[in-house]
Amino acid sequence: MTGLSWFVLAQRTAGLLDYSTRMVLAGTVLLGIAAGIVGAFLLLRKRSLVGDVASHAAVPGLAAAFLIFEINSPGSGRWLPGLLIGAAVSAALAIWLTERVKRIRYIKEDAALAVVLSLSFGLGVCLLTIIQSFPSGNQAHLTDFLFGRAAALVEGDVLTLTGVAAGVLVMTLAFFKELAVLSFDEDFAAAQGWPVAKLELLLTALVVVVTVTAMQSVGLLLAVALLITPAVAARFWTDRLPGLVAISAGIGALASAAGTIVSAQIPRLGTGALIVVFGLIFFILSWFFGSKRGLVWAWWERRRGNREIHEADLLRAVYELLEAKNDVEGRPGPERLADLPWSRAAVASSLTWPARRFERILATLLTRGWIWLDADGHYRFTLHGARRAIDTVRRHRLWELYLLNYAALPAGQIDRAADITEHGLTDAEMERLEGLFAARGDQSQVPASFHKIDAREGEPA
Amino acid sequence: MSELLSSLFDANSLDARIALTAILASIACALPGTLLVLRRQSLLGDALGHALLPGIVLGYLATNFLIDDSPTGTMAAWAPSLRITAMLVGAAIAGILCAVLATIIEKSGRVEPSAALGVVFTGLFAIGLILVRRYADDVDIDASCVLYGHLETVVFETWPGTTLPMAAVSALAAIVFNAALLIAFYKELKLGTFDPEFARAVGIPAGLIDIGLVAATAMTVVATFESVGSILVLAALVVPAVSARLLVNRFFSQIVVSIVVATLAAVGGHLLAMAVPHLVILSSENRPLEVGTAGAISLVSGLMLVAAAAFGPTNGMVWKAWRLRALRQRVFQEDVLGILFRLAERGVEVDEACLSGQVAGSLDRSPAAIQRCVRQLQSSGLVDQTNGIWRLTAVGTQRATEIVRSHRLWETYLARNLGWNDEASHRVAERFEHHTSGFVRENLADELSHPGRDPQGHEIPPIADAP
Repeated sequence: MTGLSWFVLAQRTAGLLDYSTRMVLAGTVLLGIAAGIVGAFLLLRKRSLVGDVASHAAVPGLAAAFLIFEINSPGSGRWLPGLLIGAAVSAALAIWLTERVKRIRYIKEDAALAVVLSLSFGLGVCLLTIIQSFPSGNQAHLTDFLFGRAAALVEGDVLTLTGVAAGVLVMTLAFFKELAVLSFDEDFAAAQGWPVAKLELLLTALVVVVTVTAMQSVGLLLAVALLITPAVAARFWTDRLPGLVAISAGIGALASAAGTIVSAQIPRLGTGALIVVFGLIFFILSWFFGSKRGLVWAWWERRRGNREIHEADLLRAVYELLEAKNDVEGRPGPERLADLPWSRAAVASSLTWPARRFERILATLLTRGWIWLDADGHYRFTLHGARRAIDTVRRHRLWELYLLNYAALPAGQIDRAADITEHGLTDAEMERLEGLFAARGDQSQVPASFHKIDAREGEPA
Repeated sequence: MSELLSSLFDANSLDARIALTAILASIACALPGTLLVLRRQSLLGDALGHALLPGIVLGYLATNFLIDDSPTGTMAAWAPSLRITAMLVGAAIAGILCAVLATIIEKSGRVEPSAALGVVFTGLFAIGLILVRRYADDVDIDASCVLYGHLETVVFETWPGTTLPMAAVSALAAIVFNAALLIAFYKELKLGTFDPEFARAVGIPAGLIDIGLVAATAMTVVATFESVGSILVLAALVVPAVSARLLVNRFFSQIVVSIVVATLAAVGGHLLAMAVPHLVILSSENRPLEVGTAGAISLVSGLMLVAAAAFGPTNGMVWKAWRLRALRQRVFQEDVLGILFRLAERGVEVDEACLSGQVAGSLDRSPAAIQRCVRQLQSSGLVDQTNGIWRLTAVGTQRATEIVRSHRLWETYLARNLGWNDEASHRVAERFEHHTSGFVRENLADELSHPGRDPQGHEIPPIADAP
């Protein structure tokens, strides 16, 4: 797109202040909020796909309601409240039926969901084809409810949606504690004497209400996405229930707003499908960048952890090299250690690392100011780096001693096992290990301990 | 009706072609469907039915973009088969993408599997809908046609030079493909389905089988979606398989039965779609009522599932209800026999008033129910009425003695050996008396060294020909 058309787009977006677009926006956003809230509870109840059943199963109810009204008095079929009630009744029936079918021996939960969903949709398709042979059937535009037609939302619909969103909000707030316990520990809720069945019914009712009201904006076939996607996306940002519900509602609202605004600008883009695609985009962003479990953070953490491990390994390799070459008697203090020069080639050959990693870690230690390059081209520890090295080796050897004496590991495996686990030791655990071996008086190979290293000491200014 | 049937069996008629296509499509779906249901992956069928849409559309658009299929174009003759190939490939890619993405999301985010699947398939479906809507004018894909299929028009596109519908040919290809896979990997599939741990232990690549099943299901869905529609394909996948699960237990029989169910549903569905316009004419407009074949097929398969659940040989709900009813009736009859025996012990003469008063009251049943029960006992020769007084016959006395003897022996046992009070032991004995065989009863008597009276002092009646 050229700069000019972006400008036009922005202008049209600002033109949202025009009445009908504003109505549509308000309607879809309210629905997004309501669906986000209910979806969060569904996700925790592991019943996300109940929305899938509800949305497909609403189709036969919708069609049946149309047929009933049409047969009673031709032309009255497209009476919205009637259609909504029909859809809600059949959606609720289907959820109830799923629960019954699940209890038949040999039919597992997944098969029960699939059977009820597909058969009720099949019934719906039958009824829809019947409606098409009605004189008024072709004008009924019932397929609008399958794919949604947000552009057709008018003020009355927005009032209904406001009512629904407010109702969902009030009910979830009023029963927040109950729903929370139900979501995490149904058995506990039952043992506490809470009416688990009634709470379950409340949740189901909320699902049905959201699904059925969604049919006007995103359409029945995509209503389930509003219930699932924002909640799963929110899961990547928080572990706490209130946060989950709030973020899920927020993502639902954002996706609805984005979908509505963009579809208002570009012709021939269904609002419903676009809302769902925006939901997917928000999900992907959360999946990658979410502060809890987000892929990028997880990768970053792992990378940082690996780097710390490599740094420690390099420090220890240098220490051990110096120890072997210079006959460092007993336990060298940091001053003595910082005095000794070493060459990178010798250290590199003692570590079996890829050259690139070695270079990178060496450079990190240089910038941290733990080692430095003297005028003769030798490397030396700084005082701070020497302390670090001693501390690292100390950890390693104490842990080796522990494994040897207490974990009854064969001597051949000790070094490797210590390599793997020593980095996870906390300072408190180190102190306990020290206490343990101090009492035994058996740590000739372990460098002497000294005061805790201040993290900032020795860092370049 | 005979008219309908004859047109169904006339190989050249449109109806026969529709029926053939429907049968082949249903069988093609039933094969992977059986595995999905047994592996508890039915929802994968649901997900694929939605998620393939963008793959199909992109495949279609790619061929449109790359090939000039106007009659004068160089590739005109090849266009249809290339188009189908492209759609198959697109769908297989979309299907595998859907399954793989869902697994990655599930693992990396510790998200519940069905929710992860839900995110992916709804997203892909929405993308597909946008593509359809956006290019609806350029290509002849109609959203509702994709959703519910259109057997009635699909059959007009035939294999060059024959009357065989293209859709039937592609469904047949899917059957051959699925059957070949099934036969080639029969052992692996069976083991992997029923004992995944063992399968892994003997080196069967579980991941590869999973992906293979997804790909095969995706290809099947594409090969048949024109006929049955992308959502009804789920019914074609799972409903015959679930019906088969209710009817038989063995893997091989389940495959066979689900093929049979699929065939019957296809034929029945088409007959239904043919029959309805003849049966129901909208009076006001004098126009026939039409039902889409695809929808009708799923309806009929649903009815067959209900029938399987009702009449399945081991778990049929009708048989269960029947057995339960028979049991209730037996218990009721035995209770009445017991009461009559006890009243006879006390020398009470049982007339009609006593039946609807004392007997009905002590069993907490309506007088009418007691009357019905007594008539039944009379017709089986257990009770008899003389001069308005009901008495047990010899056979009836024998049966009643057994019941009362069991009851009082249990009461004695519970009171003596377990220290229960009268009320508790009576309540439990009331239930046990109906389920105590002669062997158990006499063992109990031996254990108690043949007591003469129960804790309340009633006589424990001896059995005439007791061993």
